[in-house]
Amino acid sequence: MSDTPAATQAASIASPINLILFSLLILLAYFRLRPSPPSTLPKGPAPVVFRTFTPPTLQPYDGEKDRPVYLAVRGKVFDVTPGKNFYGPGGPYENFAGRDASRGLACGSFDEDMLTKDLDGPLDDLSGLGQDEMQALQDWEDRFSEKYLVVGKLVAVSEGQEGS
Amino acid sequence: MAADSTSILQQLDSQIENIFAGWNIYSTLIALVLAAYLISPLFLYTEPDVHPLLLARQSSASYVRQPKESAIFRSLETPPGYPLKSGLNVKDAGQPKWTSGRAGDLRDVWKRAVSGPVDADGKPTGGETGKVITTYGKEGVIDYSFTKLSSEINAVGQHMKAHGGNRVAIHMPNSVELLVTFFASAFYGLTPILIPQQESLDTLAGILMETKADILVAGAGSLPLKELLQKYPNLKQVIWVVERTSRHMDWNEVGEGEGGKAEIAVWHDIIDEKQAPSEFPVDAPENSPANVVMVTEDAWSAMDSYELTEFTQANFVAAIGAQTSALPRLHRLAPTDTVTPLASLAEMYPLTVTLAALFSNASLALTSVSGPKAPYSAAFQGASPTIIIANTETLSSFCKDKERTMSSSLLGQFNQWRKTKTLKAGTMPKTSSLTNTPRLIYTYDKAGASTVKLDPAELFKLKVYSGARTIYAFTDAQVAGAITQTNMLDYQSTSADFGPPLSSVEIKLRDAEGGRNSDDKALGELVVSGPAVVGGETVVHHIMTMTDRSALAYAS
Repeated sequence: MSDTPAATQAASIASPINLILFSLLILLAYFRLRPSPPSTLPKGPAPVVFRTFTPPTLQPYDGEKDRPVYLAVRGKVFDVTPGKNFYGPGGPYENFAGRDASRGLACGSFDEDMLTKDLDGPLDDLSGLGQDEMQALQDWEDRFSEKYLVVGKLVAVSEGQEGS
Repeated sequence: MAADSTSILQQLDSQIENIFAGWNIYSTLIALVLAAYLISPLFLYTEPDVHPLLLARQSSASYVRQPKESAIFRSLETPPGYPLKSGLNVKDAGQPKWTSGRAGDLRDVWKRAVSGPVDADGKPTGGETGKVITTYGKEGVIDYSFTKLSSEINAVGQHMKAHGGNRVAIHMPNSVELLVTFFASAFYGLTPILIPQQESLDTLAGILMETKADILVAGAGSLPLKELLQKYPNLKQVIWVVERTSRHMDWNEVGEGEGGKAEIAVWHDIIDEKQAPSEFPVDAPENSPANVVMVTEDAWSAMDSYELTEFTQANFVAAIGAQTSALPRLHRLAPTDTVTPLASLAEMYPLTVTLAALFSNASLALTSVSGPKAPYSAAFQGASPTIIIANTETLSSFCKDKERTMSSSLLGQFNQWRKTKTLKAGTMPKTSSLTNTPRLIYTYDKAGASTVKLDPAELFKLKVYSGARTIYAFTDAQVAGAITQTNMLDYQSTSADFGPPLSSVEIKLRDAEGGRNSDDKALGELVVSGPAVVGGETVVHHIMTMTDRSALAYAS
C-alpha cells in the first residue's frame, strides 16, 4: 500500500514535462553564463608606405584597373583616389593622373602641353610663371594638403632611386 | 477507412496532451524559476562602464608610414593632423572667453591650487580648495592650508635666494617640505634637483657633484654632514628639515669646521623668522622658472649608477596637461579627491600625477612611508585616499597577501568569484564605503628598469582585492609624465599592454635588429616625440609592438 504513493511521487518529479522544463533551464543557464569573446573591430587598411617616385614610376598610378590615382604637385605626391571622378580615367582632369600637375594647376589648364614630355628628364622647374600663377599653385597645394593624403615625393630620374 | 487514420496533427495533439497531463507542483516550481531567470536581466542588467568597441581601438594611427617605420600612433584626443597637447591651457582672469589659454608653467599649478576651481573665463568659482594632509607616523595627521603653504614657499624661497645659490638638491621622503621647496624653486628661479633616497653617501656626493648643487635640503640627521662636505665641499647652504619630536635639539650648532663654507639653517626657523606673506613675487626675469633636474636609477648599468635628466617647464606642463585630460570625463581628478602618492615624488610619473591633482584642486595626503618597499596599508593611516599612486612592488606584495587571506575562507572565495564575474562583464563591483577603498590606483613601469612587472592577471586581481580601478603606465627617463597609459575602464585580463599614448606624445616603432615593421604588424624600437619629451624626440631601446587594440606592448 505504501509503495504506490512513493512510486507516483517519484514519477511526478521526473515526469516528461518536468524533464523538458528542467533541460530548458539548464540550456538557458549555459547560454547565459558561458564567456563571450571580446568585441573586436575589423582591422582598418594598412598604412601606405611613403615612397620616393620618379616620373616613370608615378605614371602607372592613373586609376586604370583599380590602381589608385596619384598626382604630384611641387614634389609632393598626393593620393587623389577619393576624387577619382575628377582625376581618374574619364574625368575632366584625367591628364593629371600619374603625372606632375604643377604647371597645369598654376596656369589653370589641363592641356597636354602643360605636362613634362620627357619622363626621364629633369622635373618641371616652373620657369616662366608669373606671380598670379605661383599664387594659384600655392592655393591648389594648400587645398590638396587639406583634402588628400601625401603618400610620397617626386624626384627626377637622375637624382633619386626608389627609396628602399 | 475510418477511425484508425487519426491524422498526424491529432496524434501530435494527444501526445502533447499526455505530456502536459503530468503537470504538477514541481513543474510549476521549475517553470517559475525559468521565468524568473528569463526576466531577471530586465531588472538587474547594468551597462558596462565603457562601450566595448571603444576599447577595441584605443589609439589613432596615421594613414601613411615612412619606410622602415610604423605608422605614427597618437591618443584619440589628438589624432594625426592636430597639434599635441603642450600646456595647461591657463586663462588669466580678464581675457576674452574664446581665447585659448597659455601653456603656463609650474607656478600656475600652484596658483590654481591656491585659487580653487576656475570657470571657463579664468575666474575662480569660489569652490573649495583642497588641503595638504601629512601623516607623521605615530604623531598623527597635520593639515596645511594652501595659503599657509604659500607663505612657507615665499619664506623658503627668499631665504635660499638671499644666501646665494642657484641649484637646490632635494633629498627627502615624500613630505610637505619637498613640495614647498619644489615650488619655491619655481617661484624664485632656482633649479630643483630631485634625488630619490640614496643609501650610499658616495652616490649622493657623486650626484651632487654632477648636478653642481649649491643648496641641499634634507631630513635632519639623515646624513653625516661632515663626511658629505668632505666629499663634496661646494655646498653653499644646507637646510635641515627637522621632525617635530626633535625640534628641541639645536641643529644650528655644528662642530668646529664641520660646516665648512656651507651655511646651515633649520626649516622651522626659516618659516617662523621670516613670517612671509602669501602673495607671490611679481614676474621678473631673474625669477623666471628654471629647468628641473630629475635623477633616475640607470636602467641598464650596474647598481648605484644613475641618469640625470633636465626637464624644461614646457615638458612638465605638457605632461601635466595630458594627465588632466587623460581620464574619462566622468572620472577625472576633482576637488572631491584625495591623492596619496605611495611612490617617491622624486620619480617623474608620481610627481606628474601629483601636480595634475594639485592643478585639479584635489587634496593631497602625504606620508613619508613611500617608495617601492612601502606597504599598501601605509596609504590608509590617517587619511582615506580616493586615489593612490604606487610602485608595482607595493601592489604586487599586496596582491599576494590578499590572495592568501581571500582563498582561505569560503566566503572570501565566493566574493572573489562574484567580483570576477562582474568585472568580466565590464562593470566595477561595488564595495562598501566602510572599508578603505580608493577609486583609482596609478602604477607604472619604467622602461627597462622596473624590478617587478605586473602581468594582466595580477592587475585583474588587484582590481578585485582593492576595489579600485587601475591605470598601468609606461614611462621612460627622458619623457615627462608617461608615454602610454591604460584606460581605467578597461577590465580585461588577457592582453599585457600599456594602453594608448597620452595626448602630449606621439609614438612610432622603428625597424631594429629585434623586429621589423610589416604591413600588418608594427614592431620595432619605440621612438617617442612631442612636447613632453626632453629634446623633442627620444628612442626607447626595447622592441615593442602595437596590439590589435592599438595599445603599446612589449614584443615577447
